[in-house]
Amino acid sequence: MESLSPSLKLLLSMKLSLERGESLRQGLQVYLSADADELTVVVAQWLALREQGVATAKIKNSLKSQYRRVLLEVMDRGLRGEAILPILNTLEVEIIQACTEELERRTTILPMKALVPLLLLQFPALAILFLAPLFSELLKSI
Amino acid sequence: MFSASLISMFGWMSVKRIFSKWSTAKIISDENFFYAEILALFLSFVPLALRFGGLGTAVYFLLLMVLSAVIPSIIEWRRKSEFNDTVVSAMDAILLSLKAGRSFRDSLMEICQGDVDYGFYLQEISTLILLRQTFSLKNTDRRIQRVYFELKLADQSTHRIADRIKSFRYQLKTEELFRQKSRMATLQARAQSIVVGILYFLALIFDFLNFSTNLDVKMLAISALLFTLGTLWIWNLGRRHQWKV
Repeated sequence: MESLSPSLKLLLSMKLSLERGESLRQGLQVYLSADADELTVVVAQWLALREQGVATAKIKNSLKSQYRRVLLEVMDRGLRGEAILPILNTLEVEIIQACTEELERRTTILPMKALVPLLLLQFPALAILFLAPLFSELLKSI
Repeated sequence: MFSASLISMFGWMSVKRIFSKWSTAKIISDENFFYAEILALFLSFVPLALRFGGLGTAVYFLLLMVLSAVIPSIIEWRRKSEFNDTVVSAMDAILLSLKAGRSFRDSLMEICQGDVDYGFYLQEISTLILLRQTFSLKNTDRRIQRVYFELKLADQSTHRIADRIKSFRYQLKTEELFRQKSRMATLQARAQSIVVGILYFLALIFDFLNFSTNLDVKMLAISALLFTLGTLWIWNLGRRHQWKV
């Protein structure tokens, strides 16, 4: 979990390249050569199909996250030559907010999830440790 | 025995260095490098343990083996966490220095020789860039390589260096912010696991002191197994999170 959301990673990578004065295509190449995640694979497929002139709607629609779909749309516009830096800046605020909300939801649920191994495994282990010698002493005395 | 263990340790280090060179030259893959390292470690210490004999000696050599393998990893882990802690402040320092009118290379020089210690990897990166890429960075960590790549690009570019560093610093800060938030989410569960772990060991010591004659080894093994599984479960809770965004 200690990593960035794939969509935020893609967005920041694009933004950094554009701010450096590089083209979006160069930015995508750097992004694809970095750490692979589930979105990197999709973006690589999407880019390959786009280069061949094949319809990419199927790949875009296979993405469950609306943020990822929008990012692909924006990238498509960028590759067609439109200026997308202002759009990326607006999207960044939205994605950061969504990520923060997802993290907060997870922070709320995690203590409850941590109770499951505690109750199912660690408490019985402690109980065995406390009660086993007492039982064996009791059996001996009987 | 002490001199034999010293010879073994240095022997193992030499073999490790040779394998490392082979790995860099792509003679062996990274995965094979790991197995070769384990084999070398095993071959360095086990014959000595067999030669001197006895359970105590075997434990001593086993401990030596584990320490030889673990200490470099601990040092590397410490350096990496130091790098993660200081990389944003190093970018701040470079940016501040650029805005004060100094050149990019002068700013890097400050990282190398300044009063603030930015850690091993940042000093290594700065030195490599100052040496005009005579040597390339051998570290395989993605984050360290990315910082090296960005600073190298900044060194090669002739204009808007401050803007580049500023954008990169912003990206690093955002990443760090989310890393900290993610860590906070798992910290509570891990702290709980540590407290229960301490309790478990106290109970174990209590049992050994008071009921050592009545302790059933099978029950103890089941208890230890359950406890270990529970601890592993808790420590892995936050790791496999799939982002929905």
